[in-house]
Amino acid sequence: MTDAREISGEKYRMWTRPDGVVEIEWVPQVPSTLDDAVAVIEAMSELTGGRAAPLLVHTTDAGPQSREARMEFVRRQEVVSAVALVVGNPLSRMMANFFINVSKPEVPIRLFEDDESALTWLRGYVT
Amino acid sequence: MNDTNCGGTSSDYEKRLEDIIDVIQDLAALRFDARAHVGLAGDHIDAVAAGVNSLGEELQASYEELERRVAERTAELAVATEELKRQASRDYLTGLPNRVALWEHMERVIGSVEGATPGIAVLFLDLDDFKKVNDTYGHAAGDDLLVKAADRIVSELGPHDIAARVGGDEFVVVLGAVESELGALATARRIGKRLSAAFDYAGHTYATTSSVGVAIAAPHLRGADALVAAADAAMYEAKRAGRGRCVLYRERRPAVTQVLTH
Repeated sequence: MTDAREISGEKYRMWTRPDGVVEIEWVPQVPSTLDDAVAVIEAMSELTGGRAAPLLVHTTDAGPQSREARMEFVRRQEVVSAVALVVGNPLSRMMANFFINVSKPEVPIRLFEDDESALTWLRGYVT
Repeated sequence: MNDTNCGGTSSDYEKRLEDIIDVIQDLAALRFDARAHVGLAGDHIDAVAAGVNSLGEELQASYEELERRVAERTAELAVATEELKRQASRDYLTGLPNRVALWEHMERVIGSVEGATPGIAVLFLDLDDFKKVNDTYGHAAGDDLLVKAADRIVSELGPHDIAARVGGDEFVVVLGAVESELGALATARRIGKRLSAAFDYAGHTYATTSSVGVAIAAPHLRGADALVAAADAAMYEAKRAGRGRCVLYRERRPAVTQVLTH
């Protein structure tokens, strides 16, 4: 296990909160691809030492995500115990709903309008 | 008229929507690489554009998966068809061509070499002691004998020849390139000797002779039916003459008889 608490990549910043929830923020309006999904999953594993942890995703300013990226998140969902997608505009809401309803991840996943509600829900998945 | 909602004008919206409509039409025409422009506003039109793009990706993935499955099933069907065809033309026990395949082969080669030298000869073989082996050691031993006999016959054939199983213990060999009657008889004798060597089965050793009738394609013996019938008649003549004999069919008697085994 590593002591890293925050990891930044070309298109994202990911950090661990004191309550055990991991957060990720995408660089605004930049489309993300399979390579980005792989990098984010590796970063998640590094932050948590490989243990599944709850993840809060700030999607409001995120750009569109490719199908390959979505499928990679579904394929590697063992790195998360639950996912909260915080949305804030029509684009992010559509992408979040698309991921939930079309890509159909099996882990608990919900869409939220604000961080606090998302965190309250996610804390139930901290182990 | 300017529409200042979200900072865009109605003509801006129309243009963005037209762009999305174009992409929808492209996707409907199976041009899956079409993508709508997703702007920075993150507004409803961007959401529609991104949604259309995502649906396009899903459509492409489904289409490719469908094509992959169709190709996979088509390949499986081709293999199954080939296997059925093979089974339909093979004897289930020995793996040799069956009667149907033999006739097809004969009609083909007879047509191509009629009247030419080298020509075609047909050998009709019958194992003399098959029934005895079956009765003494059981049907499994009989089956084993047939399989081993088939292997021995095939091992004596050249590249232009084929062997088929046409009945219980009856085999037909078509020699595709014989220079003379003597050449055909020499091959028949070689096969007869090979079949007379001892067989082993489940700790038992036994031997059998075979009777062989030989017919050479000639003007008075045209077609597969006539050739095989002549070889069959010669084989029965060999049986009548005694065990382990080979008889060359002659339209006029006497037939040429050779002893295959000693």
